[in-house]
Amino acid sequence: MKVSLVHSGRTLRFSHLDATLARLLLMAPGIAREAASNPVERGRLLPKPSDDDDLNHEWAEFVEPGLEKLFLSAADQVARDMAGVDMCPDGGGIAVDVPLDHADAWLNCLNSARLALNTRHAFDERDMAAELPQIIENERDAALFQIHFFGILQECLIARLNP
Amino acid sequence: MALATPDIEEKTRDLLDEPWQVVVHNDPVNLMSYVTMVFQRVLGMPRDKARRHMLEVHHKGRSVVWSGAREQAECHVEQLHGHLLLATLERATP
Repeated sequence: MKVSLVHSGRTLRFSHLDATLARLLLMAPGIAREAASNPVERGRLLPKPSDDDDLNHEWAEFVEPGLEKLFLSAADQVARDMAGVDMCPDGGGIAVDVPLDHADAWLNCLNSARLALNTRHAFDERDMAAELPQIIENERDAALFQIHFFGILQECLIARLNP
Repeated sequence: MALATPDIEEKTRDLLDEPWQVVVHNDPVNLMSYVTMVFQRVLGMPRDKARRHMLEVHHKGRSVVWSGAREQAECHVEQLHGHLLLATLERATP
């Protein structure tokens, strides 16, 4: 994978992706959206703000809807940005362009997907620090790989946004 | 017979004046660089301070990142949640 700035520095391009990496990336908005309707994953994306039941109840009624809308709109933006990705480019190597104006939406969507996958498979600190398997044999291995891959993409965006 | 006037206004004022703190909790997913950036953006911390608090979250499991009035504390927690950090608000310990 290569990372470069294109379009007069207004776009970050992830290029030379193979089909597998591109497909895994294309899944990110869907994972983030599904988390909103999965009770366990939703609990991580929308955690309780305190030990106070009254405050938590008010939070759920007045604050959570806005947060959920934020997460879903970020996922939608990323999906729109990836809608035109050419999965069979001439010369090989798939490219995904991230307009830097949309970088916050990408960070949000990638993070939501990472947290959702982590919650879904209950990875702990040890799992996260372990070496990735050489061969991905099951859904759990694939999810761990996605978490790390999306994290690399996040780091690239953060390096550009917060040098 | 006159009814006693409840001391509502005084208690409400005390509750609002009581200091609250915003606590960020560790999780195995959020990137250190991301947490640092969020502290800078949401809480206006300079980078060095943001990094210190990030490391405190990482090593000690939690860090008090802000304290003050409850309304502002709620606003900060909402913003931190918007960035997918684990944050809570609690009454500041004296």
